[in-house]
Amino acid sequence: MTATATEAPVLEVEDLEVDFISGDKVTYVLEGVSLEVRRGEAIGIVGESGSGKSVLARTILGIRPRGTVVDIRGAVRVSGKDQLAASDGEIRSRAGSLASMIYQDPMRSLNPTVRVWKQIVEAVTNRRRVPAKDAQAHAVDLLRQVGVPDPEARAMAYPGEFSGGMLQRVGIAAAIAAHPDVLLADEPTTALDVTVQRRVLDLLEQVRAESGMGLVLVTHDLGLLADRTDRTVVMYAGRVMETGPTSIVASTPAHPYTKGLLAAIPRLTGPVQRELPAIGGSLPPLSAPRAGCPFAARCPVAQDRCATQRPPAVAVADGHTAHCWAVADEQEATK
Amino acid sequence: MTEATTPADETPVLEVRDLEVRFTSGRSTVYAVNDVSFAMRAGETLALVGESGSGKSTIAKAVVGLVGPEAGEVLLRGEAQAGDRTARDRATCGDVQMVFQNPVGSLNPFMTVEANVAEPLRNRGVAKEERRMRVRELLTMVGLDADTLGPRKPGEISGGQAQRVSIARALASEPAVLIADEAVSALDVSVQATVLNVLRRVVDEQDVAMLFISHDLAVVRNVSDTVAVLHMGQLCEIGPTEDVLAAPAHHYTAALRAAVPEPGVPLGDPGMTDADPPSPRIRPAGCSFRDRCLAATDLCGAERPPLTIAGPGRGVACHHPLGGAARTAEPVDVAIEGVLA
Repeated sequence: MTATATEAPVLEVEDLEVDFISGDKVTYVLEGVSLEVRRGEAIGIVGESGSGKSVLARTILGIRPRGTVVDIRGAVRVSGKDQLAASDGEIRSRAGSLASMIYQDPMRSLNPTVRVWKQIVEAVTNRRRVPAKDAQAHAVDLLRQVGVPDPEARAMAYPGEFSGGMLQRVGIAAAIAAHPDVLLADEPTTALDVTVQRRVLDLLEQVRAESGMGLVLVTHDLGLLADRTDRTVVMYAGRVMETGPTSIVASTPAHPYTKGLLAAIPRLTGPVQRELPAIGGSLPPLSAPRAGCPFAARCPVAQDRCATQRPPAVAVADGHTAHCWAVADEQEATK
Repeated sequence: MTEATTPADETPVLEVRDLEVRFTSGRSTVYAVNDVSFAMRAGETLALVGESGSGKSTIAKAVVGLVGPEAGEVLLRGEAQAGDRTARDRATCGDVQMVFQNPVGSLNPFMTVEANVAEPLRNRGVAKEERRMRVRELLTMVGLDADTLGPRKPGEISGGQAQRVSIARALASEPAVLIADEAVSALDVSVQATVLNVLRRVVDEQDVAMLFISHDLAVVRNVSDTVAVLHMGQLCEIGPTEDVLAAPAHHYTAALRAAVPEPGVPLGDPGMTDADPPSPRIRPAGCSFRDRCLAATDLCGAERPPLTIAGPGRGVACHHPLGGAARTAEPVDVAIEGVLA
């Protein structure tokens, strides 16, 4: 979690807008998302279903859904390379070395009929010819690095012969095989038991520290990011609501949505709440561009203009920003 | 427990005694539930927690009658439920109702919300007019507006709303036992809170006993009175939720608790080894947690720890319990003694 602020960011997302077009139906998935990750930095993207966090991760990777027309505006650069303008061929040749991804369900992201060593080094062998012996040795090294016991024997096994936690380690080995600059992990531990989750997250942190790559941890669980990421980006209905140092966002959030989200999480410590403070209402339809703030209808401090005027980015503190009219008023009042 | 004169609030609504469930396919046998006992009274919530493979869902299936026990019994209001009774019979009598993880998938997508909730009533022969009123009541009980949501199909409502419809539908049969199997796991945090609030209100107001199955200790703490911790089909620890989570007596409970990340709370010591749980295909000798336990001794491999008293209303199955839990020489013969003490 040490970032050298002077270096250029390894990942830049600028004012990203993504629409899915299917027939005459348009889904406005992302509406002007911007973020930055520096070398060696870990950021968390937190959001509920419909927040657009997974589409954001896939757009960064350059994955476009098949069978759906996608209209993308804005910019995505990984180590300065434009991911939006790149051809499918370029994306394929960059896959794994520029940005790579760890998925939620390792059982489904790996081919059950192929020995794991081949899948681990796929990102390397896809791009250049590597003698099988060397490739296999590289896979064994990677398995050792991600803490799989008896890596020589396990390299020859099939995905079905691993436990969920061990298989996710295989997924991590595959993701780092070609030394990516940015590693994206989309809910990497959601399918795992809580006792295993911790070890997988420890491993991700270790891998990031050793390689110096940028890490983007995408999750619905705000609790997971504490101690794991330098900064947190909170998303809702395709927009960034709040960005700031993880410890501050998790303890003293500025945005009403983040506040509501934190309050609704049942706790293991402190008094038991007989009635949890739920956030009433539901996500606005994504079939229309959101006017104003997308959280306005559910927000306890909403004003008239929240429904119509898009809230500005308000700097709450150094590196801590909230997109909210109420926060803007507070800042104005304290000036 | 069999005499009909026992006051209703004293008789456990549901009692599970020495339950053993095995799954056999060919030569391989999975020992899914090994000698588990607990009891529940009306208006109480008992949570079953544990990792995948701990047997929590299998216990629920045995209670509903979807799987037959190898040994032991399930008693409903003191009456033994025969293992060979078909699930259909049980469902029609409606004493035990279940709410599943996937809310939209557990409702009929071609029927309106109203019709989904009315179905169990119609099966019981409730007249049309009364059925309509009852559906309204049930939807209101779970905090849904019958006028706007009633005519919609499950695909046209949100996940949280669909889960509340499932709860209303389960309650339509006026069950004695409501089983919620990971009922909030698929929901977003902001929605999960609403559904948890509804479940708690329902248990209080309808005087139903809820068996709440979850992997999430924080959710369990919020919703249950009693918690039973399972590891590989063995009952590790049982007792009042707040006491058990505040000061676990079993090393597995402590490890589970330490693994839960909470915003703003640093993670504690993992309290367990990196070992994977043992294979469920081997008939467990001794304690199933011993390979992952930091306090394990030879005794733990040789002898299965009996459930012993570990404080008021608490039982622990451990040779070396944490916090110097008061151990008595007398093993608790059924967990119910510990729970109801």
